[in-house]
Amino acid sequence: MTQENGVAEALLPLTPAVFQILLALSGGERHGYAIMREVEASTQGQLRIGPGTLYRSIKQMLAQGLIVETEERPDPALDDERRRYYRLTEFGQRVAAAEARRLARLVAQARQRHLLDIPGFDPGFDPGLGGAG
Amino acid sequence: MKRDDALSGVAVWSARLYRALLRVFPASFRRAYGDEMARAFRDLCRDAWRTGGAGGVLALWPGALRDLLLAASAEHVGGLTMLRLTMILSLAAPALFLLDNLVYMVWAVSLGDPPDFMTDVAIYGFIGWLGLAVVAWLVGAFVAARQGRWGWFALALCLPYAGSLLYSVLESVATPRVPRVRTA
Repeated sequence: MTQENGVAEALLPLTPAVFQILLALSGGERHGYAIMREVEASTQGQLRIGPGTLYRSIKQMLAQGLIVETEERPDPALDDERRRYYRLTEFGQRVAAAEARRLARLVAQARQRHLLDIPGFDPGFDPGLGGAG
Repeated sequence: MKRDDALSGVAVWSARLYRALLRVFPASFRRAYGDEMARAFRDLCRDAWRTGGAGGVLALWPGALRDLLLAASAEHVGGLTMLRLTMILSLAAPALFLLDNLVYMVWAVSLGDPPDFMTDVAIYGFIGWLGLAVVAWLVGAFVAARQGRWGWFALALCLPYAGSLLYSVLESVATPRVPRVRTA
């Protein structure tokens, strides 16, 4: 493990809110409300982040260097120019990848112990990890 | 502001109320993120209004209140320095002591001999404020200890004294009390 990966792994495990925010920002820079909508859509409504949790997480993630506020503001004709936009840093990408690997290992363990073979068990989404096809 | 951002009815009042409720957050957090949070909630209200009308906006509130309370309390606790904690505990201890004795005294003056449970309240109240005072004292000593060598010396002096004080209190609680006998 490199020293940089070690630093990234020191932040694990991430809270569901922080991981989902990182995932939302991996698709490009977004403002707070867009992050909230993205999280809700990608989890099929299973996780809804309120403004309080969102901005507490953003404050923490800015301090940890996982995200930065972008300098550029959108065209006022297209969006409210007072909105703040955030984007993932390179370190944030490494931390998100490390958390994804950690979760993938957990899912692999669960699969190995046949926890995902229970009839009627529906993870709510297609994990797409080592599945057929 | 774009025309379709306009809110109406219950959505306007919800957005205003939410902005007012942001006062539960520490001032520094509010200055940094208050406007953004209010804007995000306003957007939530706008979308809820479009899809569900007034009912949709009202349905936002249980989750919004829960989120506000949890995030604000976590922000307050996270920003609590040891020095502030010492100050709060130090102030809470005599305040509890005062309240405890006032209740007992008022009862005794206005209603006569206080019942046994009031005596228990007085005793456990005493233990409560004394315990808080000792915790405040220890936290203060720990803060001092982090400042340098003399601070560690203060902590070293404080620990056995605090320990013996707590031991005395616990011993007095553990000793069975003889029930009072009322005389005619």
